[in-house]
Amino acid sequence: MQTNINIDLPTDFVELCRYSDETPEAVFQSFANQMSFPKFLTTQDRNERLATYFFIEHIQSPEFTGEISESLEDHYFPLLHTAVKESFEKYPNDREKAMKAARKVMKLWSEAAVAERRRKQDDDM
Amino acid sequence: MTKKNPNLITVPLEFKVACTIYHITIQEALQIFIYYCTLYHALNSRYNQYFDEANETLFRYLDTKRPGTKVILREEDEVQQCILAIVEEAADCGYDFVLGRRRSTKYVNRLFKLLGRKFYPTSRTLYIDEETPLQLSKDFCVMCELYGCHPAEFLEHYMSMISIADAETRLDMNLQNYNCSMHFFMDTTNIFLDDHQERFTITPEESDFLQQAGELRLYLYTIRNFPQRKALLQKFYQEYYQSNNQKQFNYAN
Repeated sequence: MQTNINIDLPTDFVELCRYSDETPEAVFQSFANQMSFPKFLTTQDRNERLATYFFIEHIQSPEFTGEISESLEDHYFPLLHTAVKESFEKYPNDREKAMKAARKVMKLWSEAAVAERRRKQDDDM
Repeated sequence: MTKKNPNLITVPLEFKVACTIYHITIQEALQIFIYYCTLYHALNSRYNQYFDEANETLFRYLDTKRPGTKVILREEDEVQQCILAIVEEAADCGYDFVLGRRRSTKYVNRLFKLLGRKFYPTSRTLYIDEETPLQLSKDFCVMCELYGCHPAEFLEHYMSMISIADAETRLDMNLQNYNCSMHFFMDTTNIFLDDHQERFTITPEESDFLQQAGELRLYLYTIRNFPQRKALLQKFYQEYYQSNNQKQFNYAN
């Protein structure tokens, strides 16, 4: 999925890009590639977890502007862990398969979250 | 009492872990607890921070040990007179707790002589291990006699209520469960450390540990089940404690 993002680039960020001759697009792309529960839950490598750590920190911070359903978290996080665990039990060392199993859960989760928000909006109208 | 040596207390692992992480020795932590357990505050309905949490810990233990029975078991006239005198001092002194404690000392001393030594050991010293003594205050001994408990029971109960993993998990999961003992431990340890700034020096190992702890708490966000989350945190802290202990052992040898 492609998207155009409109954000303010703070000076500090711009300076980092400038001194390293890196484009903001490449930095965000690399970050976006790593921000993933399926990746996060199938690795022990802390470097691979950094972007998702950032996300978890973000959703708990005052800067968070979205909306999270705790009951869906309570439902889907265990499903995610189980999917990863079962996949590794069935196919040891096959990370791709474990990520695929986790992605299936993520898809259901995000769909459920969208549906729940819609239902809420309808109720409010 | 089924203890092999009644003067020796058993320290639970979680308590050792908490003391290690907070740079306080077991001896210091328990000595602080003993200091704050006073009969004056147990008999005083006015709230006084730390003293009340410490005494509440004793009451909660009694409540689980023998629910629904009297707290003070001794009913001799002279004993009752002393207790009444302390209650009166408490009423007289209002919020001047220092004055009240000072005035009640003579009654505590009298009680100490009157009550005898049925529940606390013959000397006022308990041991954490062969080399680490713990000094019991007269106040603490008097309360043990009045409440009918061995001091080790109270101390072991206090220690059993201390778990950083439990407290942090509850905090992170918004699970309310007021644990007066844990509050007491955290508050008094912080005050103690304010007076011992030299202990704030952080080793490289500790700095790693703190970073890992921060990351682990983020990871734990994905675990929604209380016992599971607590167990992971417990394991992490215990491993740190054990590696820390191993290192000290290696240095010593």
